[in-house]
Amino acid sequence: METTCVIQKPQKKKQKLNEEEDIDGNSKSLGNLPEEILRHILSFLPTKDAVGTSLVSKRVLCVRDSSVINRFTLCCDVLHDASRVNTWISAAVRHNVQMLDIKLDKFKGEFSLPYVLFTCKTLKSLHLCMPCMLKLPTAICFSNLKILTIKNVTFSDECLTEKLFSDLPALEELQLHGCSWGDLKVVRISVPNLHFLSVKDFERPDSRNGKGCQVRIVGARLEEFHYGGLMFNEYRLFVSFKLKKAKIGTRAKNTSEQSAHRMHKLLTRLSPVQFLILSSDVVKVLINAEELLTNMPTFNNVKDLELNGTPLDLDCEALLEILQCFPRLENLKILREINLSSSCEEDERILCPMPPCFLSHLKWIKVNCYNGDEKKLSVIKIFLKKAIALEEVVISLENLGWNLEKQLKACKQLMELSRASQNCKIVLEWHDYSTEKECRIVL
Amino acid sequence: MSSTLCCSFAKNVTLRSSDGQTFEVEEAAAQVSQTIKRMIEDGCTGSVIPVPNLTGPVLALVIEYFKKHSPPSDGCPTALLEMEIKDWDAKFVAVDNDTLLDLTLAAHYLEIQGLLDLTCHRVADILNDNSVEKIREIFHIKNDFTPEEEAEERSKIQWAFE
Repeated sequence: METTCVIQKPQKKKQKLNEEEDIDGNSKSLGNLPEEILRHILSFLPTKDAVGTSLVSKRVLCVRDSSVINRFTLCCDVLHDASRVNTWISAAVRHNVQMLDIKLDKFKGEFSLPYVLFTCKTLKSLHLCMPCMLKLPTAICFSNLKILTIKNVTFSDECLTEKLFSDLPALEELQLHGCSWGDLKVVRISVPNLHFLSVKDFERPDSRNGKGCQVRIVGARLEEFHYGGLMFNEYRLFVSFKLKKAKIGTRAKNTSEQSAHRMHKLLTRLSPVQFLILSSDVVKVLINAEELLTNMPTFNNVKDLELNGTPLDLDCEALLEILQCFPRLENLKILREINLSSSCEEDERILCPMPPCFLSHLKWIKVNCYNGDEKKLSVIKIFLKKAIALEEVVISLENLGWNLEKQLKACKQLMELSRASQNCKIVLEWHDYSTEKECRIVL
Repeated sequence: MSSTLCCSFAKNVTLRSSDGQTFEVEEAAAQVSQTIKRMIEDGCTGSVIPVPNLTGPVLALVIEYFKKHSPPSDGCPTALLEMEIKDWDAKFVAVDNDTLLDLTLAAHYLEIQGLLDLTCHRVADILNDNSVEKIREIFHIKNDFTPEEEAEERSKIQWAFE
């Protein structure tokens, strides 16, 4: 690009010297910069330096004191310094903090957060991570809070906890990770504008209340729901058809009939979703109450399904049961490896009765961790043979253990497989470490 | 300089500094400034655009910045180009402190967010590296605290000096 300078470039340095020599009241002084600029400059300094530097003049000090804190992070061990921790948090609230991250650990004795925090009007995002009992004040009003994350907190008072989760008019994202409901039996979370909710609940509650807590979630605008946990507590969703995406992760350990029923109820409430990510262990949890497997909810809207969790076996009842629930499934992605345990791949038992999507909608399957061995080849063979509307099978190769010869052999084997859908493409994907590139070929 | 080529492809605008110097610059480049962009959109392009808050030397520098930061004509910037610009930026603000303040104010008046971030960051780095007394000297700030007041403020934030 060319620009024409009509007047010759001036020599700035020489002009400068005689221009401003006086110090006082000189408009060139840093102290006279507009307030917004001073604030912007201070925002680039670490807090400690900003505090020290601001002593250069009364005006700069004043700008510092009146400044709005955009983001404040406090991460420390509490030990015997509870009052100091609270001084920091109160100061942040006093300076109209908008994003607050509090990560505390090592509590000695009782600890409660300053009450001013709970009525902070400027707060837009709050992350709270503290493995202790959260004592709530009676006045709670986060009128502008959009994002709330609470980690490892134990809730104690049923009434106040409910108050916390029902007075969040602007909240759009809520994450409750590793929280304990203590002795609480029923808690209602009612957030009118909530779009996204994530719950992680893997720790067994240490309360006397062996049944856990029933958490009722009311969110008319909820679009995405994530649950990861072992069903120690019951999460009941009261949501609308707006729910589009859900992710359910669990592990098949310590399962009971109770957890099976809870999982079943949760899945039933998710039936409006279009996109579902399921851990393969979900079915292993449901097996604890076998009558439930024959009474699985149908997900008529789901077009995309991702299966993760433990490696899968195509010849397993559980997988078959899952696939039966998605009559309109178009895209199936299997994130972990998938094998065929039974030796005889001709066995008609496999995928029998045939899941309805294999006869109609299923057009795309992706499998990961392909290593070319016979068990994995058999899986691809069965998919190609049984899914009649298939358009593409994407096979992602395992990261290690390939050479050109082996790869050619794998391609040859795959190309020889018969395809029920004549137009089906087989795509091979891998990461080439020598060039750091993703490679892809169509067979 | 291929001025004929340039004119056939790109429209130019003329900017006039407070001391009457005029500069011709490609319209697309000048629009790095939100203020100038608005003026162009309001139809001020026919005549000269006055920039009364900037002296000629400062405006000349700002125009250098415009040229470097105008959107590339051939689509999205590459990582290499970005790195080169970053390098250029660092050299661009390695100027004497007065010029740095002038550029900061210019970026503020002309609403050039990238330049404002760049200069404020540079000022912050200088503040970071110097004592309170030295900062007053560098940036011509009069100490308007009485010794008692200063001692009191210092005691409040003793931890910051530890």
